[in-house]
Amino acid sequence: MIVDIHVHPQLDAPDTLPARLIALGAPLGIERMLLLGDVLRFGYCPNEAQIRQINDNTLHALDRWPEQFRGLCHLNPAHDPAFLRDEIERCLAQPLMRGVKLEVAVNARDCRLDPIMAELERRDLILLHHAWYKTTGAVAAESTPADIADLARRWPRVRIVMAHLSPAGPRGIQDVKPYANVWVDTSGAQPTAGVVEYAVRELGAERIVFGSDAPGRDLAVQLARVLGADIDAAQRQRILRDNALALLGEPC
Amino acid sequence: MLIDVNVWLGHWPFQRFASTSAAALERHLQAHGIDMALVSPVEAILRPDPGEDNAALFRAVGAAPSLSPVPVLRPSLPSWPRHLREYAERGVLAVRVLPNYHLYDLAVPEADELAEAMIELDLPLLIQLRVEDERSQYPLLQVAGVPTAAVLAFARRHPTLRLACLCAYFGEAVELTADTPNVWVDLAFVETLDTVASLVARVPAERVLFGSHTPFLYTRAARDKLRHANVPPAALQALASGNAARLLGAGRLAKDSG
Repeated sequence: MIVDIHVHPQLDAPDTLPARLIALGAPLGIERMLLLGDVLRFGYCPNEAQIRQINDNTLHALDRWPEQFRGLCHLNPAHDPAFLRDEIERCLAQPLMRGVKLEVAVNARDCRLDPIMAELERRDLILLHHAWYKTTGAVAAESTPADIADLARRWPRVRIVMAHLSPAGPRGIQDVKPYANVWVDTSGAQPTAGVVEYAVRELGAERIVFGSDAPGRDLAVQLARVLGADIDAAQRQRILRDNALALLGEPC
Repeated sequence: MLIDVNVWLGHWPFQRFASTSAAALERHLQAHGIDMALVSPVEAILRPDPGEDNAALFRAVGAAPSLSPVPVLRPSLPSWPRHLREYAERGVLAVRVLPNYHLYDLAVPEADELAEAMIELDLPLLIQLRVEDERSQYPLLQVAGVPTAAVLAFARRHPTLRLACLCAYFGEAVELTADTPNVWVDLAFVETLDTVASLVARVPAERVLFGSHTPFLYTRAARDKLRHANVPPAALQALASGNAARLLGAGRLAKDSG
């Protein structure tokens, strides 16, 4: 079994896209996917109603395909802490929800993340946070790996999956290396050669998880980053399956 | 038969490559089932005169028969006609240009002169639209992709020039092939869910080439675009080698392979 920890359902295809993802993933051995929500559907700073709509769509897929999908509750930390707690509570009523996904609305260093982090710590759930070192095109509040490192330092008991290994690059890998509560997913941008090997050398395979960022990316191409990397079979299995199952609290 | 139209040999300052010798690169490509690769020198991207790097490439691939050298030309240098004649006499299958790294517009007279010379020699021109994702470039070396509009205008001015655009994004690939029958695109930077099926729904299958952009990208990533392509076998065969054979000239290709 391969677990893909970074997949986005879409509001305009609530049934057809999940079915297509399952069909495309099966021949590749991808049997489980973590749905992060259609997080950019309403732009960079969704309002409360839009957040609910995004999460409803994820919850729908979890209800319909409980074997194949797990989910994260998407939040905008700029919202009122009471709403954030209520939305976490509402989403986690579905037992296949595993934590929270944050995108670019608020930077990871911002104290407005604290109510969310406190809930995650209390419930022992994961945070998957977008991060990217962008030479061009960065959104104002977009987080870099250095920002994720700051968050990890402040919340050492919350397990954080930092998205996007290639755009993090060696600098980003070094940023989060001191923080054992940070994992890195392999998704993001082009399948730049050598970055998986570098991450395995620097972080260890136990801190890397496979993510595709589908449907913006191709499941087979993103999987090929890991299958094509010069690493051993045990390291590959950790990245493709074991680490994700452990993060999601599921048996290997 | 699998022909890769987008391969490089050499060193790049921002990335450590695993295969930097011709022998190692050939073994690597063959391990991925690639029978023939068009290879250009990485160093020619940044150095002012690509001539020396092309010469080094010819020497390097001499003992690697599946690597077909594709020299880089810089038409803003006065030496390019002499170099092109020399490369044609050596029997190259194509020439590659990088207008963005080499600081010229495709509208300059020298680019048009190169196009006419390529037509005269019956050789295709490979235009490298980009080398890296612009978002992840080294901050002090930001190089924008070659504008699609400039390529389209160039292709229309030279309708009998066979033009392959390498490392186009999905939207660019669609735009570049919409009404310019002399333009091909490669798969290296094209990616979306179910990439090949999605692309050939928008782009004629006979205009798509297999290109991996090795060693910048994982070779397997491009290879698996084909391996898991949900398209009919005839389209797959065209993408793997048939289209490249037409681009390069089937007769020349047979000679080179033989």
